[in-house]
Amino acid sequence: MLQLTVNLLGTLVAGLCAVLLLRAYGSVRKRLLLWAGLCFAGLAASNALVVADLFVVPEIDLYRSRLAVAAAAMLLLVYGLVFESDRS
Amino acid sequence: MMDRGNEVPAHVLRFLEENIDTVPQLETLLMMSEAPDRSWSVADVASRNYVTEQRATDTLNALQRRGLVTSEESPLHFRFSPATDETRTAIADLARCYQRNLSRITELVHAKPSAAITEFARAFDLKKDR
Amino acid sequence: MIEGFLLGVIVTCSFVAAGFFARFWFATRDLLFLGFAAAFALEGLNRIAFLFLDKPNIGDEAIYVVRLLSYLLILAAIANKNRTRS
Repeated sequence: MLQLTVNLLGTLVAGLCAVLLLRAYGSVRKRLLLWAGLCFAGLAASNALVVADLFVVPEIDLYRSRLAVAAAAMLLLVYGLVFESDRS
Repeated sequence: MMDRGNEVPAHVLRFLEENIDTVPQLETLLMMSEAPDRSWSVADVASRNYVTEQRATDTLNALQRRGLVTSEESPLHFRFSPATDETRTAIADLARCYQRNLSRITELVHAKPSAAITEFARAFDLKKDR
Repeated sequence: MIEGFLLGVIVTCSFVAAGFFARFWFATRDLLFLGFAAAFALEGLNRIAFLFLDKPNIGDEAIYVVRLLSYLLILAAIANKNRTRS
């Protein structure tokens, strides 16, 4: 129960951040927002995969996929922070 | 930050804090405020400020989002048009401070974190909807 | 092996992100960035705990509580940003 709640909340929070950042990217076009937005979208997906892994398709092990999606998402964020965060 | 004698008033500091992220934004706004009846094209602004047209476009769009200038289509041009009288006064005072103490004002603008960072924070500010 | 590697990537990136957000907080004094910095740092530390689990794909109560905390930190940071100011 706790797992389900936490991961659903995680999907929502990350999803909210993704929506806000990507929407802002749409109007101000600062690339940091794009990479951060995509990161949060990826983290939302990763959280959704945890729910799927544990509750929807428990017979399939999605652990590696969950990690891979989260890792890719974080790499996007770090890329954006390193290369785009000092742009004016 | 120690403020010396001839100071930048608090309302001007606040205006800078909330509305100006870069030196081109500052200079474009002041330039346009000196000729409030004039319409400016992107090319006008770019050449007067020695920036690329892309930079001028970003600058004008940012000023428009903050309710400081308005735009009209066909052909696209911009006009100085602060949303409130309070803003208009702040800009006039800013222009005076800029003449008296250019280096101080530009120092304040340069001390701001990058536009990317401020826009990141603004993305989460649902009230202002900028 | 691969899972360990992926966890390592996630942890390192989380700490790097936390570091950037902490710098942004120093520069802007905007609590939003402090919230993100704390959330990513906490999640990074949390993920390290996976190394000590028998069944990492299921996790552990404590891990979920900490993760919950990091999400709440982000929500609090966003809520704080939207508080009406005088």
